[in-house]
Amino acid sequence: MTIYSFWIFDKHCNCIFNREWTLSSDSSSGTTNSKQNSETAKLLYGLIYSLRNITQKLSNTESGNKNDIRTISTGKYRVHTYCTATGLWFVLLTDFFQQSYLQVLQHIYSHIYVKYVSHNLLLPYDLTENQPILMRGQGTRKITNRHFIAALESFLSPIVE
Amino acid sequence: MAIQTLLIINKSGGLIYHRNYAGEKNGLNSNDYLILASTLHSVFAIASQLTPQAVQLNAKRSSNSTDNNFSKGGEKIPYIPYVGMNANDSNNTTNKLNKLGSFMGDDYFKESFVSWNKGGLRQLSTDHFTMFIYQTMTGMKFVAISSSVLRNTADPSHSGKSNTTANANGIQNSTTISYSTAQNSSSDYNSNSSNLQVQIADNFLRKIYCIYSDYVMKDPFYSLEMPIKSELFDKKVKQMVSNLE
Amino acid sequence: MSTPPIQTGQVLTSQQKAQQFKLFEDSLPKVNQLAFQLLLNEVVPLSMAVEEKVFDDKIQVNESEDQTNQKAEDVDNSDASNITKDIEDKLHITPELDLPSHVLIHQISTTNAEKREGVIKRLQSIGFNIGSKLTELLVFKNNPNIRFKDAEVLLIMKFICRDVWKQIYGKQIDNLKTNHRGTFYLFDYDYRPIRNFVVDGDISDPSLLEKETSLAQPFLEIPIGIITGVLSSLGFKSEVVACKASFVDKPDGTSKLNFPKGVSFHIQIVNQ
Repeated sequence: MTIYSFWIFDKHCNCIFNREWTLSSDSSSGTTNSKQNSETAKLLYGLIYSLRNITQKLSNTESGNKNDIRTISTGKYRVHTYCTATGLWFVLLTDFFQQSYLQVLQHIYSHIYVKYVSHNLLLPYDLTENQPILMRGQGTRKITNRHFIAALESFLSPIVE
Repeated sequence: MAIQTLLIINKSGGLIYHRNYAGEKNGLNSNDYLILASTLHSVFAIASQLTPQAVQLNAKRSSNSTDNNFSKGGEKIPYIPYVGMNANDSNNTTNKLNKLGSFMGDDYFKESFVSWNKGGLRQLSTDHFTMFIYQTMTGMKFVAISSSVLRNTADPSHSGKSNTTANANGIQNSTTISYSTAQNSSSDYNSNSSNLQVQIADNFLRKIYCIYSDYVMKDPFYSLEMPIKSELFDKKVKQMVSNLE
Repeated sequence: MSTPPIQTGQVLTSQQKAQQFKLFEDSLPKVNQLAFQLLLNEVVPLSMAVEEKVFDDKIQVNESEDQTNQKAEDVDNSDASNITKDIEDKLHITPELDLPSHVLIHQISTTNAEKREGVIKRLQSIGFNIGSKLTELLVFKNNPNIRFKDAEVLLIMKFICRDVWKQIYGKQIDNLKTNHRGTFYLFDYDYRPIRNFVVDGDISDPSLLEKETSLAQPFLEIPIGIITGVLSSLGFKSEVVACKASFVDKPDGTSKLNFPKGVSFHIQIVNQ
């Protein structure tokens, strides 16, 4: 049971938070918010975006509810996604031990993101608001809120192992 | 795990075979499927780019030690007997024409095999279906969309349950035992429940690949990389899919 | 629930009173605590936006007076600017939105003293209205916990700490101190509206805390208004009551992931 990295994307396709663990044995290793604009973030976004398009096309339209991706597995790692109705994506890269991290991602959204980002009136909720509409896909702002990061670390570090 | 859709994608990302077995219309035309195939093909390549650093570091470290799955040629998939084969078929010698199997035996192959799919996409689970991808050494992709859905739980006891249902659907009960022995012999990388489905799918899709080489590659009128129109192939694949249900 | 029938004229036992009160509470329409909190918090940036609008209107009135004088002189110039303004107006189907809340909150602490005073006054008067009406509601509810025999000030303070605070913030005041001569200190170490407030920055930087407290300061004005409102409706007119809020250190053992400071409300009642 190991997690490799954790990402949040907002509705403007920006990576607004990322956390990567480089040593699977050490929960304090790795970097925070270092890959916002790197190719990795864009590739990960693109991967999920294209697969979402496919699955939504393939799903039976009569059943009504959207067919969202839960996990994407490759030979080496597994990607868990949780997309909220507000357009946020919570993404977790893990090993194969556990089939579903949906509850973990839901907890991060409801108990950490909403609490420390949505309920914080002192900081913007939409990180791209000062940019003109056409530029919103290239935002560089990210969540640096110390309470959010501390809460996330303490929640995820037992899983990193 | 009932197969809803089967796709075969050639090495340049073109769709060469596509069948729907579920019977329900999902409003996609053949053009949509072509786009879908090429998207899958490109996403497949992207996925291998995204391998996390921790995995890369681990792989480097363990490449020195020999007891490793990735040492040479990729991960070993254990052989799971009679996936997609009808148990009665093997005993019933009278109906030779409809029998599946090749000169290698009635189950096509009887040994574990190496997965050529090293870093690319293998499984995609959504709310409604699971998609499995098997890649051959030549770069072809066999894609199966199955109606089975991940159990929505983090509880290990539940994932054990889904494991047994997968068994009941896919293979005979006797194979559970042989699976567990195969599991013991392979490294701990495979010793988790969720990988079983992938392994069943890989076994199944490899057999489709066997049928492909038997009935498509030996067809003198077939030109490479072109859509498959062989009736025999169609029939055999359909038989195997219906055996899985 | 099996409630014994209550006959008129019969003196109720305390248990019956409590039951009756509970029935009444259950029958009241409910407001989601979260929605209420969000609305209450949104009042602060809203007051700032209102202040700005009022200020702009004042200037515009002055300007338009000037313009009528100048109009005869340069018609051409104003025409061009009018046209662009017309186009801008047409581009927005709905009226333009106010600035986002967090910008307005930052503005409160950076704007000039006159405007800040206006915002604080507005917030306090909103709180005052809430407070004076809330007293009526809470007393009217026939709550068995509330007994005002002679409107004693300590009882009223306890009423604020327990019932008013619970009603509005979902928790009670953590600590009440008094010198029995009209001075009261109400401590809330986990003041809900600002609980999750935090600004970006380096935690080792001492000015960070200063910034956070100064940004959160306006959020203390509504409870000040509420306290004076409750006191006023119970007979202590606002002329004899002084109330002021400040940040205090939290006692040890509280969560580090909340707002780093507790709140103290200092109430002074001048004897008549």
